[in-house]
Amino acid sequence: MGLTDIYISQEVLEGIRDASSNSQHESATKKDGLPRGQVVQHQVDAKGRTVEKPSLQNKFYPGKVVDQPRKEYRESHTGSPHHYVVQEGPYKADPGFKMDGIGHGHQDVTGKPKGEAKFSEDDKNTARGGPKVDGVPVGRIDESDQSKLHVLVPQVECTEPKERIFDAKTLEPIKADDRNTMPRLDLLDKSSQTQKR
Amino acid sequence: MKVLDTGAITDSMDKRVKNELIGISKEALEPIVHISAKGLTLVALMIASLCFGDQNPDHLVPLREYYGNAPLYREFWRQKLLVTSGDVARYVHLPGASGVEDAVSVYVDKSRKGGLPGGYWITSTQPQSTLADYITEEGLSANAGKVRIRRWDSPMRASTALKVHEVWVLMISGVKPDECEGCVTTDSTTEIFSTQNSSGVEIVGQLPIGPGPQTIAFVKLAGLLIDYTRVPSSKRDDLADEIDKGASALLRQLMH
Repeated sequence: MGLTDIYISQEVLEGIRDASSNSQHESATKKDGLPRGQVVQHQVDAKGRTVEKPSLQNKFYPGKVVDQPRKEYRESHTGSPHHYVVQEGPYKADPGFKMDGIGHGHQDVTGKPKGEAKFSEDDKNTARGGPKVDGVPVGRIDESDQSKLHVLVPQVECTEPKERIFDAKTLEPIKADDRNTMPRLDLLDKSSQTQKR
Repeated sequence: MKVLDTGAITDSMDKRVKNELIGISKEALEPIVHISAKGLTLVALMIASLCFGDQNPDHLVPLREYYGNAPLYREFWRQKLLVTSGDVARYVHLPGASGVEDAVSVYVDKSRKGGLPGGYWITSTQPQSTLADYITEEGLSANAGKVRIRRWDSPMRASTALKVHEVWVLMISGVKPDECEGCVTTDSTTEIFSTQNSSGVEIVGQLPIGPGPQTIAFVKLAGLLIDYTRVPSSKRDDLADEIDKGASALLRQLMH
């Protein structure tokens, strides 16, 4: 089974880091306890060729609570964990742009870091991609250790995405145990920076 | 009866659209519900349709498929949480950034003792730790077999079970392609619904991204089924009444 990260340029990595940092800041400023995310995208022409360097989309995607458990039923009697129905997104690149990645972050209602720096199953699905959607890198600056940027990197072969950890300042890889250092250029479309299906 | 002018309604809705809220909340619906009967109801509903029609898909969507270990996770939660049939109705909740999986199934088991007339039962299951955490980059973790599952069983009155089934069939039969195809999310929960149609075929649907009011009412009803299994038996009848009420309201909307 091959394991080859899709090609992520330094600019995209910077974008993912900045998107995550911005999202954390936005969440901390709003103090509503909702997570936020931001898209890294690049402009393409009619033939899908890159015409501009990656940049951050000019908006945030706040999380939303669709439904929440009623405490009188699910907490007082059973002590079972919360069962919130939440959605964060849908992320979409602007018209004429292609998505390169997503950076997101969480803060609690006091503006302090919230949650562990781990990726949810939904984050993994976004990086996995599927028959109807390409996988895109999903990044998150570790809320409890701001020096680390965690990125779920889609694999060229559409296998399980790999979590890579980078120094948030220099963007040098911190953990690269099983990473193929050379991306397989024959499988990559560097102009679009997304994996081939 | 509280009578509001259409200007107030439009303002209220504009704010909601700007705020990118999903669905029509109770507060937003209130002016529409309480509006005078002098022809304004139709106008209000038309405004609601214009404001929300394209933004909030009010139907379920087909299950989204993903590569990698997604099929392995699906197989794992199915094996652990679906311990009974779900021929009447089933709802599975998969967590986002926090929480654990939850599943509830309504089914017929006439052979089981302690039931009510009709033999309808409801069973909910929940792992004591998040099942998704047992899916590693390499596959299923070695201790996945040790995860403990909690289970709650209750009989259910036939009238409630049949009404729930009717809603499930109508909602899932109304599955339409995802209008937000190609969209992605982060940290979102996943809500999956299934039942058997009159031909005995399992039909399945998933909550769309940005659901509309009818779909939100449906997910709330599904949540009540979980609650029903976990409240003390003394409160079960009250909850069954609430399920009946929610199901009847949804049926009325779906039949129109």
